[in-house]
Amino acid sequence: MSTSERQGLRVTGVSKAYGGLQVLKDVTLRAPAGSITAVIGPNGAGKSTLANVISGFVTQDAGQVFVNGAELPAGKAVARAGHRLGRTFQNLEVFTGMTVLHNVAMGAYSRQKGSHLGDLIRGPRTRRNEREAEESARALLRKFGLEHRADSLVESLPFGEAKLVEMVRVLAMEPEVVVLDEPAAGLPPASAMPLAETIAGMAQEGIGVLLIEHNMKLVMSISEHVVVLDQGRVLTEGSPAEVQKDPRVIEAYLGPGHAKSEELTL
Amino acid sequence: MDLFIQVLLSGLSVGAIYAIVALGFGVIFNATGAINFVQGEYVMVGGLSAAMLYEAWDVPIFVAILVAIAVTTVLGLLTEMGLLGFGRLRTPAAITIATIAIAVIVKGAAMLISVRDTYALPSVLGSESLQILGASTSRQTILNLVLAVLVVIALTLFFRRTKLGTTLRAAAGDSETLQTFGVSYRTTARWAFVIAAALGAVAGAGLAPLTVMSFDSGTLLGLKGFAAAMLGGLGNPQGALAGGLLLGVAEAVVAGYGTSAYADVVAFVVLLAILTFKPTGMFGTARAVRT
Amino acid sequence: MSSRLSALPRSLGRTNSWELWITIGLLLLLPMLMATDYALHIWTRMAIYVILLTGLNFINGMAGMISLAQAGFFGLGAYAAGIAAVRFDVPPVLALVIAPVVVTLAALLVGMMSMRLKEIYFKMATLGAGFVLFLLFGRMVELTGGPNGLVGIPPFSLFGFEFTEPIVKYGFVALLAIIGAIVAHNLLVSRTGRALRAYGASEPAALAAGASPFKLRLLAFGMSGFYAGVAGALEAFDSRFISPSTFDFMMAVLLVVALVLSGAGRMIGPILGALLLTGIEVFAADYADYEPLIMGVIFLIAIQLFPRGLAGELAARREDRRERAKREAAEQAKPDQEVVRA
Repeated sequence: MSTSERQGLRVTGVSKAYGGLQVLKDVTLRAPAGSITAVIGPNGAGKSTLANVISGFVTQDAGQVFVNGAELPAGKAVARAGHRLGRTFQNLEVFTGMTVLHNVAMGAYSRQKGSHLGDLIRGPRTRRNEREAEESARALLRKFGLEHRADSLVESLPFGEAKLVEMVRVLAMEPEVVVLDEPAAGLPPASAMPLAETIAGMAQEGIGVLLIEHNMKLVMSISEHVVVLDQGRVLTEGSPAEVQKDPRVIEAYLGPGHAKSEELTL
Repeated sequence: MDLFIQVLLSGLSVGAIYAIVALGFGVIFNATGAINFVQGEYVMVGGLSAAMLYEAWDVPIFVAILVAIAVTTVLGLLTEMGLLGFGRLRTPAAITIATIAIAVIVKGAAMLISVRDTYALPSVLGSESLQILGASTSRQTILNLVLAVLVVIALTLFFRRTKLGTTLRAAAGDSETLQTFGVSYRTTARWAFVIAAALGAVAGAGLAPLTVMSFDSGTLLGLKGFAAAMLGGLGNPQGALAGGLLLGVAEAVVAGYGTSAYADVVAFVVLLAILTFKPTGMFGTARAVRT
Repeated sequence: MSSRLSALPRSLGRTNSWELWITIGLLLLLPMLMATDYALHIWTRMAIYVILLTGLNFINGMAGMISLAQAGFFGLGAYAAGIAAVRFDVPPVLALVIAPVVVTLAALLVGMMSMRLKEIYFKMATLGAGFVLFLLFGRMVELTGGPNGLVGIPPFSLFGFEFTEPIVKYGFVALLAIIGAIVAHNLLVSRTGRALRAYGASEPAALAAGASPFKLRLLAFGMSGFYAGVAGALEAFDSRFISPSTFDFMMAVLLVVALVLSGAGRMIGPILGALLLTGIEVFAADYADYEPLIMGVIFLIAIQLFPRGLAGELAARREDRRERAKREAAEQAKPDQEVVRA
């Protein structure tokens, strides 16, 4: 696929209410291919709900989500892989009881064709798929320095490495768009740098990265574009430097009264 | 019309028993979050031991019934010990599996004791039939209905007015909640099993005059009681009564206007349908049944 | 942290080809150990159980849901084949095809209705489905012969050659059991089998990776039904007489216990479980009256020995590990949040 066709992620007019509580209100944003777009906002701003709407775990009341111009069916998480949209989760979600290699291979399977019934007789296509999935999984593990862990059960890994496995699994899907839901959550500060490199690497490969993150340092250091959510709406957006100076952002984060005296420090 | 009244009465008569069985499921579910597969066996033990005492050992009928209830209640205590006495089972799913094992044990023991014979019990109200709107029915019908209504009222009051009842209703097997009540998990569970077993025994004694009892009656009765409980919403006493009566009448209609051979199937159609389409029961008590 | 966690058993996550080879090896070697007519009869029953349990393993093992419907499906297969052969003079070969098709359809229906239920309700729903089949076997007297059973089932035959010799009977059943085990192994190590497991480990991640739980679990149900259908038909042609009591609640429980005790979700489970079931049958021939009582006690002890229950054990351990990982994550997260607030 040439870069001209790679438009990345587009979200238009997404709203979602739970009962009387409006969690998202007319949210429109873009995460273009090959760049990192961050979504920040105070707790309860609707960041997680936005991630869940984009990845199909929550059905929005209004609005659309597009990947490379194709609209994604609302509320259908299982259909996202087919549109090459991958995501990670705030709480570690790996396939316990399976090896690291097979965890990553699960990502690779998602882009393969072939029926489940075909797997029963283990025909040539199944074998080819199997080989391809394991080879690409192994290649990715090598790239991220996890090769020596390939045959360990994923739950035997330290937390940081397990987090990385989750991300590598998403990369094995060869995604066009990746939604990272608080990737730094739970990681010691020392891991922030390798994580930033990993995320930057995704964008360099042409993936449209939507980074939903609490850790301002990480966001400000790697994002090209920052969208600030507050109370379910887009409060403002712009470059990290612009957003950082915006008094409304400071107010949303620190409460009224701070806006004049402070800049949002890191 | 006469046939309809007849069908209705026999349905209510059996349905009242299903309601009492359903109440037993509800009590255990509220206290532990588990489904008690032994519940049907309590009914079997209650009915079979009363009938055996009366028929084989010539024990006076009231004494036989009281002894049967006592025996079953002890069985309830033993169930709780077998499940929780080792201190290792805590999750509802694990307790549910263990109740299957205990159901098999109870059934196996009953088979040895009863030597696979079937027993029957007459009604404590005698055998004369009762004429209602041109249809005749056993006096046991009225007794069962009164019994079911009384049990529902008693349980409702117990759950609402007593401290133990409130604990049992609110706990749902959550040991942290229980600690805030200052009650231990074991104590709550023990009471729940005693009540559930006693309910089962009462149901068995009420059912024995309407049918014959044998060691393998329990599974079917348990499933029917569970179907009734799900129909009315598991853990809801009034719902259990409505579910039980409705199920009883539905069975009687199939038996009366169709063939009695397939009457037993009704409960399973109801169970599968309700689990599939309206798992919260007719009254829609909110409760997560699906994952 | 890693040293403690890596001490956990590692075999489950791997491809266990050797377990398949043991299964095949035992099926080939056992008749050589003892080949009297009686022994062969026992081995044949064991091979039928291997097929039945391999089927149950798709649901109980791979999908991680405890189904109590397998005894009913087994019976449905036996009655479908028996009725076709006795009442409609269908050739046994065709009956052996009809039975799995019928049971697969029934299993798909039960699967569609029950697979979204929570664990405890799922058990009741599958028990209900299995039990209603058991009831129907006894009640549909014109078709099934009722409680007295269905008599006069012909032996299996192919092109006019009757499979009556014990060794031929065994060979045929063992062949099907081996084919069944190979297919199950294929599934277990394929992306489909992994997706089934993955779904049990992390529902959201499996969904995000495009694994459809509905399709996968339906497939597991269909497969278990198909195997039960084949096993049931073989049972009918082997025993030449079937009655409802073979497929009752006790059987439903026994199947689950046998599989879970010998390794649900593993390739070795069905053969070990089948040996256990056959052993019980041989033993129970002398002590039939004590069988349920003894089995119940063994079952209860087994559950109590494995804290938090048998099949739930692995899942619970996984859950624990995940919880532990999350707790550790939360502890490590504290300094981070200070960075945010600074």
